[in-house]
Amino acid sequence: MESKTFLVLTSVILALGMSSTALAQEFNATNHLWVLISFCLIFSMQAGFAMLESGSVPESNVYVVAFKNLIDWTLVSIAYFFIGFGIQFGLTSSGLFGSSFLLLNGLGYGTHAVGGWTYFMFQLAFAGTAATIVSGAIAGRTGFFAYYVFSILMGALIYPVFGHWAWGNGILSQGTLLTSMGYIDFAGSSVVHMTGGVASLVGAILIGPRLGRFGIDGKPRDPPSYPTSGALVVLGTLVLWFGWFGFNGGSTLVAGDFAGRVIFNTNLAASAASVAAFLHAKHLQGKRYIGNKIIGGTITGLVAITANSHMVAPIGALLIGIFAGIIHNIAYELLLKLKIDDAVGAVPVHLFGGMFGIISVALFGDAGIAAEFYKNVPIPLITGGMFAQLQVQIIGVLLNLLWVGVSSFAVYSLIKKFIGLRVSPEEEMAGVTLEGGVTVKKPEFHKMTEEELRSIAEGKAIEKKTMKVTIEETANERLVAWITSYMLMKDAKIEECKRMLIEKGWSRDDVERAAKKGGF
Amino acid sequence: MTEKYDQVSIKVSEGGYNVISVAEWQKIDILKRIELMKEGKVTFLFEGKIATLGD
Repeated sequence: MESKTFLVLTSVILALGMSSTALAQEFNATNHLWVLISFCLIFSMQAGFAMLESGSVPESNVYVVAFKNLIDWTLVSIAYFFIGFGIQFGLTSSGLFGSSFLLLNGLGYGTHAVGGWTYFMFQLAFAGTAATIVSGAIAGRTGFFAYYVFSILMGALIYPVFGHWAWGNGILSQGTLLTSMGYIDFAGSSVVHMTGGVASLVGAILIGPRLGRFGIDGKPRDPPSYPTSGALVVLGTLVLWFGWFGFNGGSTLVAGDFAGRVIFNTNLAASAASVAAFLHAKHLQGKRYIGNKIIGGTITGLVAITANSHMVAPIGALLIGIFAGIIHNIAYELLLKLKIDDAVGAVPVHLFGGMFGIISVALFGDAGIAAEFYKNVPIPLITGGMFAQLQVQIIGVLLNLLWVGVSSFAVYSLIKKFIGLRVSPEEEMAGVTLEGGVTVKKPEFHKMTEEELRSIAEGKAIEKKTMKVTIEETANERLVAWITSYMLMKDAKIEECKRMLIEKGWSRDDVERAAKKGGF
Repeated sequence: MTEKYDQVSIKVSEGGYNVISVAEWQKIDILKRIELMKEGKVTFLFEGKIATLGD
């Protein structure tokens, strides 16, 4: 009876952000142990992501992709400790962000549904997951430092703000933006996965595809993600699946049979999604990228059941899984059609799977199970039916898209302007490194001789094979003048162009020669 | 003799680069473009590889 009371109270807090000092009296060692074990399970997902992502990229990028999964955890741990947790779970005054518990001041027993330190570690695992989702989508071309900066801001700002809206449940909370409306995201389909998915999509668009990812005809070059190791990809997926039992099961905050129901639903949805993705890809999508779709479909099932695993019947979990697998496959093809290079397929899994999971709360939520879970809390599904809950869920989806889309766009744009989002083309082709620069193997280019450079500058023909040289490597002023003028004349008047070049220090002879050889 | 390129890589900081389209490149002020090229911060790309001069 006592544990049931606790279950109800913690459920209320988790789902609706309501608070009660009575909770402080309800702690017990078993529940703490369960939550701490769940934290460890979720932490193992970092290893899963590292395996999945590093197995999905070319061999030249395995090392750095694996490292990014280590680094983002360390950075988010620090950023979340400094301000992230406070923004997410601190006292809210406007419903938009919390402002207490900065540096965890004031955190302790009785401040949250379980003891404060246990709760912090459990929530940190979610923040780390959101951040690490991004690393796979933008793998293979993103600079290490740029990723550092993004991870810090993800842990300190982007993730916690939406987390506050949906889960902000500091003990003195007056109700945050979404919790006060009855928004339900049980374990993070939107808070964690949509957030990671939207940030991945924005990043993939702004950073651009890996060099050569799409041919001149716009078609993706096979194989789509140049997988290094299929075995590593499958093992990573299984480790993620294992960790998900803590991700969803631990979100009950109570060691009891409700956690068992949640874990059962989680496993069933993932299994159904895996089979559905396989059959859909095989029979309706011409067997294209079938391995990627089985893997992605499976994880999409896990993502989709995350929001609702506490309030759906087994048949609901099964249907959610089936639809999730199909949605994944359609989204996967859509991204390819749009020429968006998501190196490990994070967007179909986390963004589309997350959105579907949130909507599924209303579509597949069982009012009877929800009533058992929420007791006397008036959630829209119970008081107003499916459409009432659906309205709130859609608002939550839109707010996530808006906040994470705008904030991550702003962060990426600042990085683009002041740091640069990518590595050099040479490094990208040779493989991104921790140290920066090309240290593995530099692509071979013909190094022009002085004589050849002079020949080009004077307009003499030379053999085509000798032309393979970068402009940087041919830092010859006369040649650059020729190239520059030739290009600039395409969108500037010749006389204006000549005058500017001369003003910039080029000799009149060089400019005249360049103009002549450029055919103007 | 012509140059073929469909993207341009520009160095922003030590170890930091951006890849932009030709249209975006041509929107940059002409003097700025000249400056970038003179400083060796520009690499032209064609079909995912470093562009060659000539065809």
